Amino acid sequence: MSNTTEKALNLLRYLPRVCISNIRDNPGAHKQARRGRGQHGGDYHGAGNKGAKARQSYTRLGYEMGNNPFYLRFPFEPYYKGHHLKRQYPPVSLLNLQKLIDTNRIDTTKPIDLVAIMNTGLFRLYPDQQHFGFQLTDEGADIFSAKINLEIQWTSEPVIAAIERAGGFVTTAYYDAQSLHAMINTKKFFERGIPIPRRMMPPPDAIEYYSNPANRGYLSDPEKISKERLVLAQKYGYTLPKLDDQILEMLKERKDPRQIFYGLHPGWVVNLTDKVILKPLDEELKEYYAS
Amino acid sequence: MFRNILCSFSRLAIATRTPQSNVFKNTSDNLVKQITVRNFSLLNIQAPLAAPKLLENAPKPQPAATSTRTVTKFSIRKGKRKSVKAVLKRFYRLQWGIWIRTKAGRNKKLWKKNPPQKRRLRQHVFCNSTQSHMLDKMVGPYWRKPRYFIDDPYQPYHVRNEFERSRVTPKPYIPPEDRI
Repeated sequence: MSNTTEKALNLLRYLPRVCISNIRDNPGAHKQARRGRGQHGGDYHGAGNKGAKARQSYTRLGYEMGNNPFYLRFPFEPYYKGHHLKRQYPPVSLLNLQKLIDTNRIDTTKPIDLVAIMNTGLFRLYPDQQHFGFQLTDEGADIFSAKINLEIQWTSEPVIAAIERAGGFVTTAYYDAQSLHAMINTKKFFERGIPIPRRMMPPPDAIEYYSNPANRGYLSDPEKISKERLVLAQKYGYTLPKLDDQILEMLKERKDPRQIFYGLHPGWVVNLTDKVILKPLDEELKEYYAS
Repeated sequence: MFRNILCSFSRLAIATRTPQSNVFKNTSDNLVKQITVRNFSLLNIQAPLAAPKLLENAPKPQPAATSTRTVTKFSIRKGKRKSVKAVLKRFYRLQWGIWIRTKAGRNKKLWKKNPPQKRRLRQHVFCNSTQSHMLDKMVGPYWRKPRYFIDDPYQPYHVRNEFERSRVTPKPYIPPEDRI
């Protein structure tokens, strides 16, 4: 035997035996995993295998295969007639108002109007969705006890009675959409640097409500309102409380029908950075904003 | 026979043409034409006066797509979902999620229905949960927004606080009665 052969045999003697664990796979015996495309490795994305769900070829919504469909079965009813033209007044209840006063979100030593309610940050108003202010509802009328000068956009008789029994005053006032935009976010409006607009008169179908003293309308005669206060007090069986001279001035404060903010007149520009108020001097402008 | 009649008509036309005024001639011509056309529609006696106009005779374009009442998932202009108007004409959505409807046949054959049946037909009833869910999908979000109209007849029905699923305000706390 040659030297080389001996060496090889010697080496083989110490190598492990050929067995299943140390032989190489046959060529092509092992398959590489395929890399599928898409989020879950090219599967059906939860739509299953075949059929209408996989192809998303559902029957159309409401279709009943030859039946008279449910959504076409019944006679017409004008449920939504004029929905886009009617004015909307999101509700604020007397209970809400009392809670706002009790938690010091509203200052009763000043007249309360839409700006004060909006400044609490708890209510939303969308003039572009035909919202024309808040309506005060009678929930919590029995426990209402704040003496306030309130200006609201719509109320009912029991609400007026509840406020006046507590020694307060209510006025119902109309604001057009442009004025409401100014009142909803006052800071944002003043930052725009445009003059305060004048309030528009109510539309023809609302004139009657806002000039009726029974509704405490802002266009009605103040003398008739004080008469109506007595009438309502008799109707609901309470006596109007005597008014203190200290807060009487605050309670009697009313806005001009053209005015939007207390203490500010239409046409004025409020500069928040310089903290100045700019007033129009031109006669023509003055006449425009006064009319 | 046709030829004979035609000849007689033409003769009549020729005979009348000579002595009459221009206006009368035209009317008599028209009369003859009308009678022949009425009696023998096969005979094309109207000679084309001018070359036929292409645009006038061409078939007018018809709208290719006909309207359907199903829901539009993506509109052409803005790609928005559109409401089914047929639903909004027949149903009304209460704010707690149910839809109400009228009753089928409430205007039909009322003479043969008895008063209790007519009373029931006048009522407005709830759709069930499945139907309301379908109707919700057939209209856009605009119709699911709350509305605050004055003197709304449906105002008391928009909130249903009696049931846990549709309650919107928290349940008032009523302390237990003292037991002595």
